[in-house]
Amino acid sequence: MQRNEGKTALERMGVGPKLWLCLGFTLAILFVKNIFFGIAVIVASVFVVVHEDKLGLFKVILMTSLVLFVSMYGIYGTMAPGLDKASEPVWFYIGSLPYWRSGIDYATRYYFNVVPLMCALFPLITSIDMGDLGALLRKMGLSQRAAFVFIDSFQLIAQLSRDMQQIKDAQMARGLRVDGNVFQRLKAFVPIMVPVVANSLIKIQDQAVALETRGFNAPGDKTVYRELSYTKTDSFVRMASIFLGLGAICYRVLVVAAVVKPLSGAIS
Amino acid sequence: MALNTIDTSQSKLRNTYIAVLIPLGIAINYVGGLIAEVLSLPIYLDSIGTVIVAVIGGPWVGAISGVLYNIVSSLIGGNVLASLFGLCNLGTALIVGYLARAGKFKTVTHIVIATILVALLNAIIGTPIGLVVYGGVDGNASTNLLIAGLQATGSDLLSAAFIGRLPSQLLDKGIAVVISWLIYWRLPDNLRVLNASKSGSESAAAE
Repeated sequence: MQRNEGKTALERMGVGPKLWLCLGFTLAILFVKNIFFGIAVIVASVFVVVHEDKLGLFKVILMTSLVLFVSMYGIYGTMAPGLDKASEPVWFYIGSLPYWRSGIDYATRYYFNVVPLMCALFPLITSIDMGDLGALLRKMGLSQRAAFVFIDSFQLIAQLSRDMQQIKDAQMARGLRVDGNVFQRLKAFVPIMVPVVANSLIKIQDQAVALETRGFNAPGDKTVYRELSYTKTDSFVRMASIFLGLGAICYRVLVVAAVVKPLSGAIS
Repeated sequence: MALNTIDTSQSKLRNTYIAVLIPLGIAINYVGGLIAEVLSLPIYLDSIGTVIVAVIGGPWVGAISGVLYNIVSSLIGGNVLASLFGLCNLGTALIVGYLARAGKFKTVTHIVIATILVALLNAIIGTPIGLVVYGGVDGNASTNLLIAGLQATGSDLLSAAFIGRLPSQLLDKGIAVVISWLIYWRLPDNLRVLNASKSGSESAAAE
């Protein structure tokens, strides 16, 4: 039986506790709605990413966060959706553009829903072993076909990404330009994408026949060549995640019912 | 027996093809988005897989592929709220899949109609989802500039978000539909019959 022997603590953590952590963080970020909590989650996630040596991949998340920051604060701050601009004074100016407090609050409400979630889930999801995930999905009762479809998509993403890079390099060696204005870059899309798609459609014929010869449609239960084992740390992480999620929901219910005051830094 | 003569429309082998097509559609969507990012294009190009799978495997197979793509990409990107955009892919797959099944995915006129319908649907469904997830703006900088410009002229956020999305959706879905159309009609017959109705399979066999 295969076991997953990860190098770091996060990689050694079982796939079940990681999914519970994802759920716990999602509920906490969506229901606590607190700017200090969001910043703490972002900082902790960056620390974990650096420790796990995934900073190269994390750059995509950082770029997306930056684009969202500029878009949301830049647009909402000066447009202030729903605000009667005559009734509220301008908070500050950037150049000649006025920024209103309620516009900044509006941007904060959405920015701190999305970005802490992206940062928190990134190290968890990228450290999940697909074999373990497939075994867990089967253990949870998902059909063999559905589990195969879900897991195969991650594997095909990796395979097609490599194919795309090879085709891009080959086309550039043949003189394809991938820089220049928008129209030139748009023209470059087709000679890269079409071979990727066409090659992958040809390969699925081989894959379908290979699956058939290995009894993909054969009746009866399928066995799994992967053992899932959990440590005491995994059990602790699972309980902590459940506590975090339920705690966040209870906090939100109590705040809405005006039983408790929102914590300092609450987002309206 | 050559692979391209195997009849894929029959039950078990058809089910296997569908089980392989769905993850392929997800991967094609993802790679399309990746290429758009690498080339710094102002559009997403992440629905090519949905369209191709819907045309080959049928509207509901395409819909499953499209919705699963948004779930998988939101897991990879960490923004689980963005999985709501799966409803846009669902609509795309149903429109294109049923058009293809009805034999309306052959001529340039069909492609233009499919593009307009899909772009409109994506703008209609995507606007309220964008409001829920991002407050109105998009993850796309050029769409956001257009939305900001429209708001500056006095439009409310909802109208600005809808109209701002239309140009990028027309271009985005137009490219997806055209690429899928070009590839579909060059596929071997045994793959094209997967989405055939009785009349469709007869005309595919005749070709």
